[in-house]
Order: sequence, then C-alpha cells, then structure tokens
Amino acid sequence: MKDVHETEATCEVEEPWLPIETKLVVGSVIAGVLTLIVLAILVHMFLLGGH
Amino acid sequence: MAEHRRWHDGMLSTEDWWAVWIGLFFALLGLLAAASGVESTGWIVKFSKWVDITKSFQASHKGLLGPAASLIVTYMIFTAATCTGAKFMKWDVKKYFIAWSIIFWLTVIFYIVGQNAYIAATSLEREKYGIDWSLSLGGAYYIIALFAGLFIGNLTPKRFRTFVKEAAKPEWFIKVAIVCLGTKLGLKAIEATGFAMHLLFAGCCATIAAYLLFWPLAYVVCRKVFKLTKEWAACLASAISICGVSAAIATGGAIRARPVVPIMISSLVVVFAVSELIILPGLLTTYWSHEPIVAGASLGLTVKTDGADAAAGAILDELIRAKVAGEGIHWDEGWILASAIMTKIWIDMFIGIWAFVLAVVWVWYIERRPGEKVPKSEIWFRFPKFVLGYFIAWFLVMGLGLADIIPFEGLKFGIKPIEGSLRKFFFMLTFTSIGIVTDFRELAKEGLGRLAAAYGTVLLIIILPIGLFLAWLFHHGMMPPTVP
Repeated sequence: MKDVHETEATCEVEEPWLPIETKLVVGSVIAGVLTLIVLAILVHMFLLGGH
Repeated sequence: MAEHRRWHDGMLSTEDWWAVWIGLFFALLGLLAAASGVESTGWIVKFSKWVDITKSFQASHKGLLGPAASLIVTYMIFTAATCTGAKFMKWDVKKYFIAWSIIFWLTVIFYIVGQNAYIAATSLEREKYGIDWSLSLGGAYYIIALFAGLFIGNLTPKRFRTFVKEAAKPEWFIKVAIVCLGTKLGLKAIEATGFAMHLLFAGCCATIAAYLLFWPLAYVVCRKVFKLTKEWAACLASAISICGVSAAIATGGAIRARPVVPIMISSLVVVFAVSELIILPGLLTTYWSHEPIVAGASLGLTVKTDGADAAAGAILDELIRAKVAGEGIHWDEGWILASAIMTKIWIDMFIGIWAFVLAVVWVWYIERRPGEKVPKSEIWFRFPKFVLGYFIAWFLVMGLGLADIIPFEGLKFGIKPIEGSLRKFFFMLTFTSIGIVTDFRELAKEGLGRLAAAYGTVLLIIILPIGLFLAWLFHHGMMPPTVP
C-alpha cells in the first residue's frame, strides 16, 4: 500500500509508456476529430444556418 | 465502487443534493407567488446602483418591506435554509452559523460598494445618476468580493481564516444559484424558445467534441512531456479537461488513485480557475464582444470549476453588455451567462459517463484486473445532481408558461426575485467564498511545482486554443435577443 502523503516521490517515478496507452489516446483523438466533423456539419446545417 | 450503495444514498447528506433542495424550494416559492399572487418572494433583498447609499438596496417588490427589514428577513431565511442543509450534512452547525453570518454580512458590504454608480454605471446611465464620470465596471462587485475573499483567505490571521472557511462553500452556493438560474432560463425560453434550444444543443455538441479531444491530448502532455505517472496524469487530465475538482475526484475513484492525488490536483484547479476568472472576461470582452455567445461558451469549456465559470460568465455578461450598450445595442441580460453555464453543465453531466469509461479502461486495459466488474450504477453516483435541479426548474417554469397554466406576467412577478435578486446574491457569496478558500500558498508546497507547470502548460497550449475554437465552431453568429 502506498503512503497517502507520498507526493513528490511518486511524481518523480518514471513509468514506461505502454502500447495500450498509445492505442487509447490515438483512438480517442480519432473519435474526437470524427465527432467534431460530424457534429459541426449537423450544427451548421440545422442550427447556425438559422442565425 | 458502488456495490453497497442505493440509488437514493446521499440525498440528505451531500452538498450536491442540498443545492437541489434549496434551489427548488426557492423556485417553488416563486411559482407559488406566480400562481396565487401571494408575496412569497418579494421580500428578497435587491441591490442596485447608487449615489445615495440609502438607495443601495431594497425589497425585490418595492414597498413590501423597508430596505433594512428586507435585508434582515433575507438574512434570516437564507440562514435557516443553509443551516438546515448544514445540519443534515452533519457539519458543525454552530461554527457554520457564525462563519456564514460573517460571510453574509461581508458580502452585503462588498455588494453595496461594488454597486456604487461611480464604479458600476455605464456611460448611458451617468445622466440618470447625476454624475459626470464612471468606470463602467458592471460586474465590479464580483471582483471586489473575490479580492476581498482572497485577502481574507490568504492574509488574515490563520485562526480567523480557518474559522471562516467553515462556511465558505463556493461549490454549494454556486449550485444553488445555478438551480435558480434554471428558472431564469425557463422564463426567457418562453419568450425565445428556439434560441434556448439552439444554445442547449450547440453546447452539447461542443462538449462531446471537447471531451474526446481535451482528455487524450492533456494525458499525453502530462505523461510524455512532464513524465507524470499514469495516476497523476489521468487525474490531472480529467481535472483540466472536464470539470476540475469533481472530475479529479471521480477519476481518482475510477482508477483507484491514492487519495492525495485528486486532493493535490484540486488545489491547483481552484488556483488556476481563479486566475482565469480574473483574466478571461476582460480579454474576451476586448476581443470577442461581437461574438457574445461564443465568448460565453468558451468560458464553459475552459474554466474548470462551476463557481469560477458561472462567476466569469456573470462578469462577461455585464462587461460585454455594458460595452455594446455604448454602441446602442442592448442585449438581454443573462444569455451570455447562460451560454457559459450551458456548456459547463453538459461537461458536468458527462462526468459520470467519463468516470465509468475510465474505470472500465483502467480495469480492463491499464491495470488488467481480470474478472472485476464496473457497475453501471457508477454513472448515477457520479452524476452531478444539481443539474437535475437546474433542468427541473427550467422546464417547470417554461412548461407552466408555454401551456398558459400560469400567465407570463404572473411568472415574472413570482420568479424575478428568485432568478434575479436571490441568484445574484448566491453568486456574490460564491465569489467571496472562492477567494476565502483559495490558498496561494498551496502552489509553493513541495511537489506541486511540476504539477502546476503541467497544468499551466496544458491549459495554455491545449484547453484554451481548442476550447475557443470549439466555442466558435458551434456557436458563431448566435446573438442574444435584444431588449427595447
């Protein structure tokens, strides 16, 4: 069990970057960009066009 | 996790739920007045711009009570309401009562000072007050309360500031104010239903895109550039991308981080949010007053505490309207603030889902705990309950008005003191309290330096530019309704 008051020590410990982190980050960014494009088109077609 | 919790746990013991109860209690008082004409809300004290200090405050319904009586009745009823909450939340009610009283009366003083016409009147109002000059600082009372709070929280004797913190509850006060804001939106939506709905959906879209982009980018910067461990990086990414303190805590729970992690990050969130609150409204007014709804929505995406966001939105609303009033444009009050709140509320609503997603990712992929299940009820427990109060208040007022069950004039009579005088006073309490609980010494604490650098960097290079872009993309061209 790690110490609750352990802050700087654990901050400075380097943890290796895992391949799964790459997959999750890249997946989320791709999903974000695609969502952004789809929603932006929809909002422009149905909402902002009215203003 | 949530295995031993029931869906109604916390309804009488958490700030979140007590914001709902208090906010809805006042909203219902407003509806009672609206439906029956009974004076159940007109007693609430209302502060106004002044050159003669005897005219600085009065009852919301003029003539119902004298100014002093209105102020005292307001103090008594607000005190009773919040002390009831404090009692149920098992706080030390005696200490809370004394500290609350100090904060209440100090806030009254800050409000009166900030409403002085030489400070607050716009150029168009000078004639009305018989003055030659004014600073035209419409939201100055908020800033005065904030700085006075910061003074109390950082420079007064430790014993005093520790004691006053017993009742300095910015998140609670702002949540009450936001529930009451729901009544305002309901009232406004009756007049401009289409615009309110557009704002709602645009805010939702901006939030979904922001979630999916902010979090992974913030996480990468924390991990790769600042070499933070996964638990620090995940909690910090959530705090800065989603909704600050509650996101850090929810993420900490979801990934089973040590308690110290969200606590340390929360202190950073508060300090940075206050800095944004001071800087952003002025900047946005200077450069984006021609896109007021974009400016408001950008605050919702970039300021990471409910209190600071709503507070910054309120200042922005005042500053932008005061600026364009000089050009002869009179935008209806509250829409810029509503856009700031709307995006933030969507962000708050999704936090339960995001915490659930993170819990699943951590269990299944990062820490690989085979066989462990994440209950779906976790979404409910993470859901910010004050949001329910906001929507109930909004749709109740709008529904009763649109169905003509209560005439619009009646609704205005009953609801105005709630959405105006009461809400603004709780905003003021929030500002004073934010200042009191913000401890700049926290930044100097050992171990916070690198976290602060990571937070500041992510805020500057990811959250602010992307947040501003998303706000523009989903809201540009939207203008608040004008008033005659």
